[in-house]
Amino acid sequence: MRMLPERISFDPVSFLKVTRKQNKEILEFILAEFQVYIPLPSANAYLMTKVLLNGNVEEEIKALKEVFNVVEVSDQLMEKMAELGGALIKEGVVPNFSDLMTAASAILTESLLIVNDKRAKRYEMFSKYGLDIISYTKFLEEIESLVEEEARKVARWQV
Amino acid sequence: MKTIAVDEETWEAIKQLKAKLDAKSYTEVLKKLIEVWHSVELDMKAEKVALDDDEAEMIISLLENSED
Repeated sequence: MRMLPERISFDPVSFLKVTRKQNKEILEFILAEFQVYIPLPSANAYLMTKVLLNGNVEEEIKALKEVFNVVEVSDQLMEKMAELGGALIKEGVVPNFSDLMTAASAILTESLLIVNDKRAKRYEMFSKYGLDIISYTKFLEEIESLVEEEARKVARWQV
Repeated sequence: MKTIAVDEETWEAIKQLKAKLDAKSYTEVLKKLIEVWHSVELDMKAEKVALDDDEAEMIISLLENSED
């Protein structure tokens, strides 16, 4: 049974991990099964890597937008970031700007945020404000079982 | 059922494809073509955004170390 929602988003490190060449087949499956939202800090991490590879940034932005839904700066995003940041500061926590923008983008797009395992704890502070997270490793395990489920379906059709 | 019109060249090509696929109907042929098109499109999209493994690992390592 599918446990993952239709909408997902990635934090910077998990996005770099999933777009590595070695994960091309996994990414194809993800693109077929999910609506993928990319917060700006994740888009930025990806584009920095492309610059390192001497990519043409303008073309890379175009390609990124053709494949994913990049969550751009909007009044709603700024409002959500201010609300979230303000609420956390009241609690005595000053959130990191990149984490704040990533979390606010995921809440705004009502998507499950896939986070680098090492960062999972730091995103937990946003949970009571509506952020759903899953670690990258757990997400890949869920994808693996979805792939197996699909393969079983195909096998049944072919009988 | 709906009818679509194709030119002679396409008609010949699709007849050949139906025989090759051993398909029972033209609906089956078109479904297969659509399925393949989706698969090719996904492959092209994933290829378009693929990052070189080594470069990605380097940035991942930098981000992981600078974040804490």
